[in-house]
Amino acid sequence: MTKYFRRKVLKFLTYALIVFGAYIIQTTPGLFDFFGISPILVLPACICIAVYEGEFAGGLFGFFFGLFCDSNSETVFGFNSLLFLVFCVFAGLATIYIFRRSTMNIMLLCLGALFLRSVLEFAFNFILFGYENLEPFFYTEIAPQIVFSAIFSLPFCLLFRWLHRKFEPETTKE
Amino acid sequence: MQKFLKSWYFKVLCGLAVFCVAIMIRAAASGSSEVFLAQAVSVISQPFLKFSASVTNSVSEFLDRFANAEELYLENQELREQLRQANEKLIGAEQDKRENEQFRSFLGLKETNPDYEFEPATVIGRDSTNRFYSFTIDKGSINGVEPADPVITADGLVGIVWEVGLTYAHVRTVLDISVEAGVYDISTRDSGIVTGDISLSAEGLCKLKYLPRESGIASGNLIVTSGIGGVFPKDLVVGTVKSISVDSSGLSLTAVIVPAADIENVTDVLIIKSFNGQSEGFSESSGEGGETE
Repeated sequence: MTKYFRRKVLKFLTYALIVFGAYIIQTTPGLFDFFGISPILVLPACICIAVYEGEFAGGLFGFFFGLFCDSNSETVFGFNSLLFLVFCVFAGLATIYIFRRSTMNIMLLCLGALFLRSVLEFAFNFILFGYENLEPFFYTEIAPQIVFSAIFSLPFCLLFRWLHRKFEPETTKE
Repeated sequence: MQKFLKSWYFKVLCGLAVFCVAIMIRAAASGSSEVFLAQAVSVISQPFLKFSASVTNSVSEFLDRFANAEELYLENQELREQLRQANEKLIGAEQDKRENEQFRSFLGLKETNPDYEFEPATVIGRDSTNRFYSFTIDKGSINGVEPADPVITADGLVGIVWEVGLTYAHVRTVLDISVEAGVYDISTRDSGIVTGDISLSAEGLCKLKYLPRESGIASGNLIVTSGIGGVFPKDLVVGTVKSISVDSSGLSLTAVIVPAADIENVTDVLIIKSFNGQSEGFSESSGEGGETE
């Protein structure tokens, strides 16, 4: 095993531990609950990985950790996994072909992905069933969670950027 | 971009996407997430969730002693006053005594209901995207837990087991719009259906619908399960009436219910695995328990 390969494995293991930690924090009752709103942490973390490590690595992270979210979610199993995969691949490709890899762009990508995920979940779980009083429900419950979750994309962005720079210069030297 | 579309990366990612769609169709068709992959993922994450939940509970309990010191002092004063008033009322008040015994019988579930088979469980996870305080518990099919088993605390009804894995189970609460429970008012004997409501769930409340228009139901009345349908045992405390209004159709009354159990913050629950008159699984025709997925 070359030093380059070992470093790469170490890097992705570190990423996986961070995203798994984010999943545990997101899921544990009462651990990260502000005014009754718990943020979605796994999706911003996977998008940051996609931005710094490319669409393939990001897509794989999105797929695997989407499965974790599915195992503890009320949505159809595979829903989060599919969306996380698509969003991460898009984020990875977008930073190559469309956007600059700036903090603001990454946060906007996270916000967009969180918004789409929540709107799709809202549509499939509520609108399709024709429940009443959905508009205030969206503004008081879902919209704050989107914004709150998007705020957490900043620490993830800074953390993964730092890790990427810490691992990358040495790997590129070899 | 063309390079990416022709690469094997793209083919692998497309394969994973197709796989996701396939498991979604499989899960939707079977009506549950009891696919092998879900079991496998839960087996990996459950020990960590259990550990994290126990640490969080211990830390928050410790911090609550300091953070809520003033609140606890005021609550203590209030409770002392209530106790004094209750003691005064109890002297010579046979009616109060009878009611007190009735409440005791609800709380002393095990003594009064020897047919109940309990399984204690700990809440190990909550889905942060769920609006109705659904949660995951650390007991599953290997502990004898089955879908549609009622979930309670000493205070009252919490919800119902919705999906069961080997070592875990998903619970939907009475605040959930998909959960319905047949209930009656112990004062007026009027019956109805308790279910969740999108706007009320944020405040931790649920609604009692289909009450007769001429019902004498009043604020503060105690609501308990009727046992009809065999999903919930009879006389489990659901909550108290907060307010009453006429239904939009004008044909029946709807009451807002304050659940007796602290559903938003519940950490330990009891699952009733069996009781006399229990039916098997969910049933649409029973009008109780929940929608069939």
